[in-house]
Amino acid sequence: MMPSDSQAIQTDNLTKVYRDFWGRDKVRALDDLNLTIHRGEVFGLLGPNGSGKSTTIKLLLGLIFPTRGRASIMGHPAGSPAVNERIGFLPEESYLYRFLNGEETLHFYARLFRIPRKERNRRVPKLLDIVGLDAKARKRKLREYSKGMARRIGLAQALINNPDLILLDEPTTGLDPIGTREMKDLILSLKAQGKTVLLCSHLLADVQDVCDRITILYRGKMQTLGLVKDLLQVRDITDIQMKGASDQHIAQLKDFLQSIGAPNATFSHPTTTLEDLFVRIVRENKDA
Amino acid sequence: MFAYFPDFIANNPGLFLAAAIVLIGLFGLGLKDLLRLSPTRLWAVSTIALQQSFRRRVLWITPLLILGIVTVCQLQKSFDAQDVIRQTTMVCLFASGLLVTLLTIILAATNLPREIENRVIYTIATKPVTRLEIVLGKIVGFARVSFWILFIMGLFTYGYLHLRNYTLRNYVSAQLAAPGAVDDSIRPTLEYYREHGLLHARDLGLPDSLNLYSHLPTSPTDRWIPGLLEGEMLVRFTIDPLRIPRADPAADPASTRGGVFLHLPILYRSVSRPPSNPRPATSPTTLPVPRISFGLFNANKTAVITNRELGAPQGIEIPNAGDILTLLIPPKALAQLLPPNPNASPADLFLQITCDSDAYEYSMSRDGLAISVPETRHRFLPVTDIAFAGRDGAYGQQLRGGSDAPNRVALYRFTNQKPHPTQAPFRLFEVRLGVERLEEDASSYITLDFLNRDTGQLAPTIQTSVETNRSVYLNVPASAVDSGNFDVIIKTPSNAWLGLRDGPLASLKFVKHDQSFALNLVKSLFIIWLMSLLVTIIAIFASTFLSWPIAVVLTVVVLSGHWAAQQVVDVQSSTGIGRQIVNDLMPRDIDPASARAVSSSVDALVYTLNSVAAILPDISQFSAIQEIQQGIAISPAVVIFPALQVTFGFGLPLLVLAYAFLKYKEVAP
Repeated sequence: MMPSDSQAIQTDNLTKVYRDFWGRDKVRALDDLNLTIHRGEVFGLLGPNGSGKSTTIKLLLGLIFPTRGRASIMGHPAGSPAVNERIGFLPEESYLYRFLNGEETLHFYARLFRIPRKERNRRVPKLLDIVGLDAKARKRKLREYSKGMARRIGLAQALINNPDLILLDEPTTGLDPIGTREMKDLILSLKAQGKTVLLCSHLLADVQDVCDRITILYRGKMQTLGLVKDLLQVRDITDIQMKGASDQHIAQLKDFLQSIGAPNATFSHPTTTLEDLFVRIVRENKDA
Repeated sequence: MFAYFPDFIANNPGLFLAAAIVLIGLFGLGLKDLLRLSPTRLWAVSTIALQQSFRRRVLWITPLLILGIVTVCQLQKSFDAQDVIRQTTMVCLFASGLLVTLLTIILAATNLPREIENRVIYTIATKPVTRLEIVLGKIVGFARVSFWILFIMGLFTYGYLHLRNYTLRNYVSAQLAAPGAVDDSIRPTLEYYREHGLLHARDLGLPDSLNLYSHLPTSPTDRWIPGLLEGEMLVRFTIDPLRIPRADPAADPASTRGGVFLHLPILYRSVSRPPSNPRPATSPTTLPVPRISFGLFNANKTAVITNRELGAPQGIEIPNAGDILTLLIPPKALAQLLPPNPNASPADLFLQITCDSDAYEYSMSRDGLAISVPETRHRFLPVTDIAFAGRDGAYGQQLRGGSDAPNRVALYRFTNQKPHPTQAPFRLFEVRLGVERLEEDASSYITLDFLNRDTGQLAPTIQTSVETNRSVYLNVPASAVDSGNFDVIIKTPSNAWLGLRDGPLASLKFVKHDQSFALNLVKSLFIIWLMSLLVTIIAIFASTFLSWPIAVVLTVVVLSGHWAAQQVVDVQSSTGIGRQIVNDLMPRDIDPASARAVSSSVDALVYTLNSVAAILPDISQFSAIQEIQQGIAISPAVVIFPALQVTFGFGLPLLVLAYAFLKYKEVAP
C-alpha cells in the first residue's frame, strides 16, 4: 500500500526474525505487523516484555533491518538519514555521552542537524528550561546525573530538531510522579502543536492518560488496535455523575431507578488518582 | 589501450583491487551518502572522538613519555657529539611514533564496539548522520588526537634537541680550543659542528654511480673485479618476448625453441700477490681453472636463473681469454623469467657475474655481450654500461682494505653535480660508511683522491678516520669539484672491509645547503601522523565487524603482516627457493617425487607469504627517523610521497569497506 501524506508511520507485513550464527531462526520478534499511525495523533504501543515493542521502534529507526516487509515514515523508507531529520527519539534509557555536560550534549546533537550556532544558542537553553534542568545541572557531566535528570536531558535531545514525529520508548521510566506528570503534559502539548507521538510503554495508566489510539502486541503479533476510549468503554454499564448531590437526592434517584427496573444501581463518590493527590500535595507545599 | 588493460591488472592487482573497492563502494553503494556528506556533521562526530580521548586524560601520557625520553637519553652512551644528537632524535621520534600508534590502535579499535555495546550509537544513528559520516568523523577525530599528541611531542623534541645542541656546541668549542686535544683528521668535522651546530637538514649532492675495482682503472676498458666472489659485474638487457618463438610443449626436450643463448665475453688474468703475502711458489700450470657463476633475474628479482639450473652448481669454466662463453638458457628456465602473456611488453632482465678464484682478476667486454635467439639469430644487446660492484654486506658494497688488497678501490662518479658556489676555498663533503674490522681495537682510515675530470687536476690525497654510521666532514679544494664532473677514489689502508652505499643513502655526498631543522622535524612528524592515520583506519575497519579485543589484534596483525612475511621469506629472492632447498638441504639420493613435493610445498608457502605481503601495507615506507637523525633534509618525493601512497592506497579502500560494513550492520545488539 502506498503511504499517504496523512500517515506518519506505516508498516506492511513488518517481520523481524533474529537468527543465530549459522543463520537458523532463533526468535521471531515481530510477525507481520501492519500498522498505520496518522499525523498529529498520540499512539501507544503496548505489550509485555518481549512482545516486540522495542523491535518495532528499532526497525522504524533503522537500527536493525526487517527480515520481511517494510516500514515507511512520512512517506520515506524508515531509517534513511533524510527521514531522521524529522524524527526525535528518546530511547528507553538515556544512551548519551557521559563525559559531556547537559549543554554540550544538546549542542552536539544540534550540530548533527546542522542547526546554525545562533539558533543553537537560542534553542538549547529553552529546551533545558522545558525539561526542567536548572543552570547548575546544565554544567554537570551526564555521568553525575540522576536517572530522572538523564531522562530529561534525553528528552531534550529528542526535541532538539523540533521534530514532526517523536518516538518515546518508556518515557516515564525513572521519573518521579511530578516528572511523570510533566512528561505527560509535554506529550499533550506536543500533540497540541500538531506533532505525532509514538509512545511505547508498559505503564498502562500513562498510556491511557495521553494516547488517542493504542495497539497491544503479544509474542510479536498485533492483538488489538483502536481508540483508547473505544477499547476501554464498558458498554453495558452507565455512569452518572452529579456534583453536590444531597442524601435526599440520592434516595429519590434510587427510588426512580427501582421504578424503571434498574435494581442493581450502585452509588459512590469518585476517587482521585494517587498521582493527582501526590502532585497536588507537592505543588501546594512548593508554593507555600 | 584495451590490449594493455589485462596486463595492467595483472601487473598491479593491489592497485586494481583498491580502485575497484573505492569506486564500487563510494559511487555504487554510497553515492547518496557521499552527496549528503556534511562537513558540519563530520566535524561534530570527530570532535566527540577528540573530546572523549582528552577527557579520558590521554594527554597525560605525554609528560610521562617526556620523562622517560629524558631518562633514556641521559643514560645513553654516545661516542661523540653527533651521536648524542642522533640518538636523542631517534629516541624522541621513535617514542612519539610508538605512543601515537599504540594510542590510536586502542582508542580507534575500542570506540565503535563500545558505542554499540553501551548503545550510545542509538542516539547517533537515529539522527540524520550517514554511516559514511560516522566512519569518516571517527577517523578525523582520532587523527586530531594524534595531531595534538605529536604537536606536544614535536615541541618537546625541538626544545630538547636545541638544548642538547647548545651544550654540545660549547663542549666542541672547548675541545677545539684546547691545544692537542683534537686529532687533525677529525678537526674539519668538529669545526663544522662549532660553526653550524649539530642540528642539520642538509640537502646533499649525490654521486651518479659507484664502482668497485680490483685496481684503479687506467682506461675505460681497463676495469677488473677480484675473485672469491668479492666483486660482481652487472648489466641490464631489455627483452621483447615477441621476438622469441614460443616453445612447443610436445617438442624434443633438447630443443632450443623458446630458449636463448647467453654470450659472455669474459676476460681474466692472473694477479701478482703483494710482497707481504706471497702465494706459495708454484708453477703456472698449478693455477686453478677460472670459473664464473652467473644469475639472470627479472626486475623485481621474483625469478632467478643461475648456473645451478644449467647443471653447473660449481660454476662454469671460462674458455681461453678472448673467447666468448656461450650458454643456452633452456625454454623452461626462460619461461620463469619472462611474463607468460604472449602479448606482454618488453621486460628488463639483469645479468650478474661473479668469479671464484682470487688467483685472477676478471672483466667483461661489452663487445660480444648479448642474448641471442637460436632460431632467428636476433641479438638483444645490453642497454646499460657494465657496473662493477662489490659483494653486498651489512653496510653496502664491501671494499676490502689492508695489505692483502692494497689496490682495491671504490670510485664514486659525480656528473653535473655542482656544489653551491661560495667564496670559501673549500667545499664540504660528508662521508658516512660502515666498517667491518678484521682487528679489534684498531682505528680505520680511508684515503680519498678527488679528480676533476674536466681539468684532469688531482687534489692532494685526504686521509680521515672513519667509524660505522658516523658522519665525517671533509674540506675539499673547490677547484677539484666546482666543475661538477669529478671522480672520488676511495681506498683503505686499514685491515678492514668498508661498506659503501650508492643511491640516496650514498656513503659520499657533498653538502649543497642546510635547510631548516624545524621544517625537517615537521616533515618527520607528518610522516608519523600519516602512519597513525593509517592505523586509525585499520582499527576502525576492524572494529566495524569485530569485538574490540579482536579488532586490536587484527590491527596489529595487518600492520605487521607485510614485515613478518618478509622476515620469513625474502620477497626479492624467493622464486626457485623450493628447488634450492631440495638441492641444498635434501639428501642427494632423494626420489624425484619427494623432491617435487618438497619443492612445490615450499614454493606454495613462499607464494602465499608473498601474496600476503603484497596486499598488506608496507609500514617500512613510513621512514620518519632515518633522514632526520642523519641530519639530511627529508625529500618529499623520496620519503613523504611513498608514505602518502601507502596511507591512501591502503587506507582509502579500507575506509570504504568500513563504511560498507557499518552501513549494513545492525547497530542495535
